[in-house]
Amino acid sequence: MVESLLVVAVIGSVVFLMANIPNALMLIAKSNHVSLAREIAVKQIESKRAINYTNLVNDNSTISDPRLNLLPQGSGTVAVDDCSPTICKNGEPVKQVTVTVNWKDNNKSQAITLKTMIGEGGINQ
Amino acid sequence: MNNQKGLPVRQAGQVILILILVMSVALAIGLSVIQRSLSDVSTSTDIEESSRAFSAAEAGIERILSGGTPPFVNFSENNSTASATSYNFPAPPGQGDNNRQRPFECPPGDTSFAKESVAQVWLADPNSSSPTNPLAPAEYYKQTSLDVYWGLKNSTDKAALEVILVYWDGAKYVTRKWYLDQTDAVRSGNTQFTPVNCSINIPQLPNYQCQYRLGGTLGSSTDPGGPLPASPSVLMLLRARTLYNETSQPFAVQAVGTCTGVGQTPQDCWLPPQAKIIVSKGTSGQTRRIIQLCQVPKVVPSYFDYAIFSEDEIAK
Repeated sequence: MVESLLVVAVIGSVVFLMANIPNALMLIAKSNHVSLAREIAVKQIESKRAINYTNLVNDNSTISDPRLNLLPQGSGTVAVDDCSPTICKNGEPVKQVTVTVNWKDNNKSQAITLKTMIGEGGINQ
Repeated sequence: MNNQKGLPVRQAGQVILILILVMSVALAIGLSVIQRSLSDVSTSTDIEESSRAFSAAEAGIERILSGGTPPFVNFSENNSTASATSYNFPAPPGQGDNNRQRPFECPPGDTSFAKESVAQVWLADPNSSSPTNPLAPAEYYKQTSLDVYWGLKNSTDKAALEVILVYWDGAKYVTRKWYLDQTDAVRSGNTQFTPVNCSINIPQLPNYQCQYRLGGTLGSSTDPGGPLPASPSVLMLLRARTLYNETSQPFAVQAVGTCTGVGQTPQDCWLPPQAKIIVSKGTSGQTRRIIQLCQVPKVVPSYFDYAIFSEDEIAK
């Protein structure tokens, strides 16, 4: 009797684990995608920081990073805007940069958004 | 002796043992895959939050540099915030400093003074001018000795140090130079530099290898060039760079003395404020990133030491 219960318990555990393995593998793929998307977004911000402030115009452009092909249906945008008046209340010469990377995991839309500011005479300027 | 199925008694139950063994292996594999997936998801989430926090912290730095107030950033759309503060540096001595100013390194705690780069330290306040002579500083360091620190503790990359002092002797600008080398560096006998014993502990800067007192005596080592110029000379600035090193090395300067005597002001023993330290803390979720920036607004160009003070006429 004890042996039978033991066998049932072990078999149940194994079946449960095996049933979860596809989900686990999907989570591993998802985390890889998140890491890659983050790297792409960070690189875009660094690229913007390398531009002289006077050449940093308001714009909304798509990202052309070849690593986007490694993300399922990967795409991205970089938006440069004037600093929001709610933050820059005195009209300081500061631009707000928003980088968004989108992709799909298991047919669900995923996105990473990084936001920062680039100011005249600021970092790297 | 056989059992009811006709198998020998000693072989009964072997199937279940093998089954349990196989299932244990399958269990271990399954658990490891699930555990890895959970840790991967956790790590990637942390890294994403870290990037958001870092970008927000950079935005906080930009706010301070652009003179914005309040120095606070809230990107509610992507759940990140930053707050920044700034202060002038070096600061007057604080409680527990025994009236002696702390070592000046820019930024504090930084050990990445890059190879070939030149460090500059103002000994006269670049933002003050004398009431009687607008071209002369009102505040300047008036002691006849000054401590310099360099080299990374326990590093095998043993750096030498070149120090150039620029001062006004009452009639013209003059330079005085020091070339210091570690006694246990293999080249030290060939460089003819002033040997410095660097096998000491430096309590105020435990990550540093070497300490030397310009114009003074420290332990058994006395500056052979004598004290730093005193009044009417005005000490203006100090420039330094490390030599013979392959890696980044730290460098710091510390004022000597406490200036509590009659006729002295504490500022006579302090290095003037010359840098702005900006500290920005970016937060996203449970992750916090802190960026520290040292801004030195007034720096002479890198060719300063080699052109402006050339002994011979400069000709192309």
